[in-house]
Amino acid sequence: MHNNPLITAIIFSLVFISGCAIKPHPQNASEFRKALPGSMFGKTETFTVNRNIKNVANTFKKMAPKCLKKRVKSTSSGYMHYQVIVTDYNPTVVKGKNRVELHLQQDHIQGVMNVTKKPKGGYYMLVADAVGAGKSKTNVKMYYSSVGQDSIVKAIKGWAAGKKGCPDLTKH
Amino acid sequence: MIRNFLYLISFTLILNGCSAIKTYPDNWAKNIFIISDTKSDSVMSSVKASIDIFDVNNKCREKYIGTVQLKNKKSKIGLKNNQIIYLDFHFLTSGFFASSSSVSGLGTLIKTRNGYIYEVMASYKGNIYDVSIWEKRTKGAKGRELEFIPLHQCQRL
Repeated sequence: MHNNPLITAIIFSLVFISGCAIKPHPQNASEFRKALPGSMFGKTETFTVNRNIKNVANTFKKMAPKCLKKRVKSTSSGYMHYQVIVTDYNPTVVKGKNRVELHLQQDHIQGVMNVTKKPKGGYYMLVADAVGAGKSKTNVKMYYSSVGQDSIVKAIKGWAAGKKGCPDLTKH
Repeated sequence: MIRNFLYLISFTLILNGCSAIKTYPDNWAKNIFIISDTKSDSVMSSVKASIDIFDVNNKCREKYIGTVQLKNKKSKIGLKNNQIIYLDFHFLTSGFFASSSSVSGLGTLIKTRNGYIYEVMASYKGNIYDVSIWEKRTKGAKGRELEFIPLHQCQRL
């Protein structure tokens, strides 16, 4: 045990700073939308598709459970280490008047320590809001992290445009 | 000597016992025609498609029958008629030099019917995969695209 007050002060400061750096994760889609622009890798993207909101909503409703309601197990190993991570992906489609929202959450079942409060269904990783713009167009705004979600974003953009295809959730 | 014998037994058990994959016994008239189109993003990796086939009984319990490796662009196999079957499509991506590999895919229940054929399009390109199944009277007919029904919704069939 040391008695140096300087070392004690440095340790205390580091603990305090690192503790304060951990911000709570968004607990719902609304909080996610607000928090994302200020985060390091947060990205928002807006585009318009030539389909009406009803068709976009139907595609989201059909493809989200088919492609995103999955459990993914990934393993990595090397010298002196072996890691298994099990993640449940939970999509939710919320239909409203002239709009539809697709929320995607990831729930680490094994291999990841949750350091902040985890919302029911897991941490939010993507939100896509589609709003009807006239008879044959829909505006879509997506909120996501620019790291490791390329295939998911590509697939959801495709669904909005009427394409099919599921993202390979193992490619992160 | 005994140690060598134990090593040999262990090695044989690993080779035989640890692999639960068995080739699908393709004993029925060909009624499912599959086109697979897989392309890796990189020359340093590959994508392989396969289907695990399960019989499903009236209590919605599945029994593994075997696996079909979709090595060719076109494959045809026979499924039992008037049977609920679970088709579990897999896309295995692996690197040539790294030891990494991963499997993604999706499964669906179908109820095979006498007098119908099934056409399947399975694709994997750019980390996006898709599987579509059509039920038709004859090859080339328009038919209807089957909805994907997950295993837990078996009571619907």
